[in-house]
Amino acid sequence: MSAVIHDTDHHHDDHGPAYGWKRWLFTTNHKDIGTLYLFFSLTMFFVGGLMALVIRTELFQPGLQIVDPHFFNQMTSMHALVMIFGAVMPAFVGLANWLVPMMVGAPDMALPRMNNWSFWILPFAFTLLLLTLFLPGGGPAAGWTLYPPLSLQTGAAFPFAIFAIHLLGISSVMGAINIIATIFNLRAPGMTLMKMPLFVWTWLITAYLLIAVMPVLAGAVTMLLTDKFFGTTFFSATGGGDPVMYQHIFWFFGHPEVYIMILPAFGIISQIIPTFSRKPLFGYSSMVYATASIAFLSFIVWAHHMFTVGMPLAGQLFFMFSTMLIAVPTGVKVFNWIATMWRGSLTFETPMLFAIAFVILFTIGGFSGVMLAITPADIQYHDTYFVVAHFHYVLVPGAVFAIIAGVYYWLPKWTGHMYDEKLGKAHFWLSTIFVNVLFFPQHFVGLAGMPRRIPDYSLQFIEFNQISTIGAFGFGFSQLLFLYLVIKCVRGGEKATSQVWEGAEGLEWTLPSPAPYHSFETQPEVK
Amino acid sequence: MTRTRTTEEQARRRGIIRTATLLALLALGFYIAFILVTAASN
Repeated sequence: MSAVIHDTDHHHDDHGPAYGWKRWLFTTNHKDIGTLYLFFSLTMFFVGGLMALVIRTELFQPGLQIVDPHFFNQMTSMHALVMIFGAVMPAFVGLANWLVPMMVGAPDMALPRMNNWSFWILPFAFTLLLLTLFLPGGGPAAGWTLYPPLSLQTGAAFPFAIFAIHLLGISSVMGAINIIATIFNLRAPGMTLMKMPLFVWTWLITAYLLIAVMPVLAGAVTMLLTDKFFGTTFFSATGGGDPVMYQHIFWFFGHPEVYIMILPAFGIISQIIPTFSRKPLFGYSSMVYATASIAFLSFIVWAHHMFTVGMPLAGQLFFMFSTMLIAVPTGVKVFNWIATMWRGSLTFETPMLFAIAFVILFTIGGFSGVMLAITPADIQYHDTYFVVAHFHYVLVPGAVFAIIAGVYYWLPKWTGHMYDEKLGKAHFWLSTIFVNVLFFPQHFVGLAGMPRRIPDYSLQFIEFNQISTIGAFGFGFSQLLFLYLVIKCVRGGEKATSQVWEGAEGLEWTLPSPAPYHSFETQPEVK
Repeated sequence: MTRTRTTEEQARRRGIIRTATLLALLALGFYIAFILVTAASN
């Protein structure tokens, strides 16, 4: 049986991209959409970074210096929302758009029109969210977690912020559906699941996490909205509801969200380390099972974020031990990365430097995570700067370094030009030094009792806060070098070969550099 | 200009639509279920 179709459905062969703004607005091409995501993510990274600099400038000295406390609270809340939903997640979706079709030997994503829509929702949602800063009462200021009853005191910004979060969720779910549909339906002949590159595997599992938990966040904020405007009392004790229930629902979303932001990073690192070690990845199948185990465990650890609300001893023990259990599959991964490097023919190009820094610094974030999992200790650490140091180690030299490593690794494939290696290494060293200057002292002020989310603090915390602020400016300005490097590479440079890196393996390296507008018109056969 | 979609292409297209529909329903189901469960627990 066959069907007659118009050539508008299949017009790949005879044209390249459209010209001007229409190319970007109407594009259904996975590479164009990947570029849009990455460009958007970089923009949001600088917007969120500016907010972080406002926070760190205020904290350079005790007392109130440059912003009033309410604006400070808006900055902490918006910094998190922008960095999580605007910078880290879109960067991974951008990388998935660029790479998943090329890695599985597909011509494009399975649902190209939906792909366009998934992206273009984002700038609209973030414009809405950022404009709330100019509304009466300012933007959301109750933290990115939006705990009631505090969040219900938000001014005119509240419904706009809730609407923006719904849109972000819809965009993420559509992106996840597209990735799963692509992996399940468009793999090249011979590419079984256990032959897929690790980046594809980690994204497949991440996409399932997104589908499972983004609706939970949407449900939670819908209930906040109805509590505020439609007289329901889901989270209000006055009507029989329970504000702690919100925290349970939020963290049922929030903890898997942490893994949504780190599993694709594991995938990137698992591509880069074998290339520059010139060895196959050690323990491929254990990497896949470890990723799946981490994803499963992420659903049963949520209450470790809220030990201090009070819960039965059995609950405390369950969430403590289940959280500690995550160290096992994560340890398997770290072991495998080190075993891959062991006796490898190592070279230290910029992507490899960022990947090694990832392994070391992410592990520091993992260790402080295990410390926080210990219930009695967590009651001491809760809501201190120790927590801020912990999750920033996981997310900045963790997720962000992996993204940067991935960009350096695949940039020659995308642009057809090599980036400036000398400047890349300078970017690496500046970033690595300053990220530690920025976040390491926060462990000490946290252990000494400095609470998070306050614009003022006791005098004994001055020195570490000043060091941290110097680190923040250093790290922030170092990223301008990254921007310059990317622009320079897009505009020209030494021509890249198809293989780009001597030890690189995988279907994407069989395509010419830059990769053609439509990759794999005819699917390759995988042996 | 028109072209005939092969049987293999049609099967793949059906697979994509089936996968996407199931996943979208799953997401919608989670959204509704969490609101209903929260309402019932109060």
